[in-house]
Amino acid sequence: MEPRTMPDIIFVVATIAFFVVSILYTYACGKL
Amino acid sequence: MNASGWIQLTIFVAILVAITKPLGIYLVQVLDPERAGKGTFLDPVLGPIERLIYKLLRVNPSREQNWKQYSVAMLIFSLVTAAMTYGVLRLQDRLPLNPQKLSAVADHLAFNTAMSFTTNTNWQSYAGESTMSYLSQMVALASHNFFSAAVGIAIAAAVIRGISRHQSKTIGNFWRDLVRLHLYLLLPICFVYAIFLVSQGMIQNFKGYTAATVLDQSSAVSTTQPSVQTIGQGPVASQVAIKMLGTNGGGFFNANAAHPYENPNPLSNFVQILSIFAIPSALTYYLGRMVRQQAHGWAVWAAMFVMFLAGVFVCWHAETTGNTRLADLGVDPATSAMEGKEVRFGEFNSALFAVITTNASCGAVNSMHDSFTPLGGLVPLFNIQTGEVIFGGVGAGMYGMLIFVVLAIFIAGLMVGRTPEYLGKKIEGYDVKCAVLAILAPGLCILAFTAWAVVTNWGQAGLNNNGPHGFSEILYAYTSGAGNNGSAFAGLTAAPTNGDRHYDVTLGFDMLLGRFFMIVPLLAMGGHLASKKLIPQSAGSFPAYGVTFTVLLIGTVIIVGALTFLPALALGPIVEHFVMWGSKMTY
Repeated sequence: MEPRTMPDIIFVVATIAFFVVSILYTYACGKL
Repeated sequence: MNASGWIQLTIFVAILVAITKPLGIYLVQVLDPERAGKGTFLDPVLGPIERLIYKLLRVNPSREQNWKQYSVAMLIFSLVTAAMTYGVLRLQDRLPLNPQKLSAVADHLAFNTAMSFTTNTNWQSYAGESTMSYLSQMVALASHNFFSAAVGIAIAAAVIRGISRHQSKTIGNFWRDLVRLHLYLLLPICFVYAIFLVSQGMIQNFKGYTAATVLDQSSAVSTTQPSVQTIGQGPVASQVAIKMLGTNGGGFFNANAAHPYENPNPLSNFVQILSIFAIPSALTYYLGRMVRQQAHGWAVWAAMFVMFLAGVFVCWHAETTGNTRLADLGVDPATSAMEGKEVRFGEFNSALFAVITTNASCGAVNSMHDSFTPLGGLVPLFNIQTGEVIFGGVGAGMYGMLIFVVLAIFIAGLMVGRTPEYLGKKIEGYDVKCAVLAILAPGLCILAFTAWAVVTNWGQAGLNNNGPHGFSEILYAYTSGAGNNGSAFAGLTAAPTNGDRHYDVTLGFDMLLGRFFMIVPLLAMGGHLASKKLIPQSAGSFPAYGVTFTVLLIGTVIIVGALTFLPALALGPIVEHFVMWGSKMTY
């Protein structure tokens, strides 16, 4: 696992970021 | 196009019609027992478990959510389950139920797979038997087959509630829908279904792989080192049941439903394709029951059915005709297109399976779509590009079709100069904006990612063919991803041995954007519709049933799909078709 730690962090952060953006998108859709 | 095919098609349609109403009524009892007047026959048995789950989750099932709360709950649930899958795949070498001692799944592949199963896509950049441990197959993948299917049905139910309610701020409770769908619909059916599949010869075990000495030893290195074939094992039936019923499509084995352990005989093949359409078809009845206009539900069903038949006829005809240029080489055109087909069940069952799996967002395959004739391959591609609304994925097909219903009603309103009205609800600018946003998300993903891939070295490196067929391979991959289908054109290598991450990562985001950026505006539309008054329909209201409505709905689906994707299709299967017919090329 050790040599692969950085990609893991990137993928996890990217996934969380996507869903955070999706939640923001939810509220943006409410203001259309 | 032989008699056997016609008979099978007739039986298929007859059974599909027969199960639509009872399963539709059952769906009302599962999702809206208050509307049905009673719960399911399983409520007395499973009710205590349901209440225990609510207690553990600290959920009040009677407390309804507005569309934003519903959407956020769905997104958080999807994030948590995606993270769980990623973690299991990355740690599978340290977890139990791994008799083959398979290593941890590579980071980019774990990301791609986690996103794939979270979004009900089940795109597979891996071969199941050589990549996934039994624990990964069950805990990370099969569980997601249940989760993502239930999420899809829940979203459809929430939007339909929005259409049917009068000045309501809420569209249901996501957690309640999720729990009830699992307990009363998916798990009981899959339990019986898996046992049936085992009875047909499908395997269900935790044994290590079998090393069988093959009869033909001509390729053996020496008499002391005979040729051996490794035969995969595992808990297949339990995964295949939900894979088909939940329109997930991710195969336990790389060959998917062409593997004899994953699709043992013609009966298992027939039941598998029937189960793909079962819930999507029943959801049309659920729609009619919920909006108190059964004719509307059947009109939507009819629109789906007509487009389904058209796809079957085109694909079946194209595959049985084959490439007539091969006749010049002395090959019988009637049997010339068997390469890549399911040779056990014939061309018809390959074509029917391909059409159904792409009508729905299933993605399971019993033949390789890459091997289809250009027109035969165009049908699955266009099926996905029209939004997989021809019965569609569980829930996804229905909520996708509702977008087109709203657009069709809007267009009808514009044509007659009246405010568009859908089942007593006025369709306003906000609803149309949401519908258009939902349509744009997957279309934009498909075209943008395809354009990116075709002009890059990494995009072209994975191709198995050059020219228009190679373009079709890339177009199909991103179409399948954004459409949450998961089938592949088979020629594309998305996870090359050099470890290039581009396809896995771009397809991962393609799937996420195609799923959630479509669902969110759709829930917004559902929430907005729920808040409106239900006004009595008058003589001037456009009826959401009958031939006129059905034709308008079909036209809207086809025109939107054609306007968005015809230029891309012209560069792929269409030009390939004319090249094939206009020249002496035999590919």
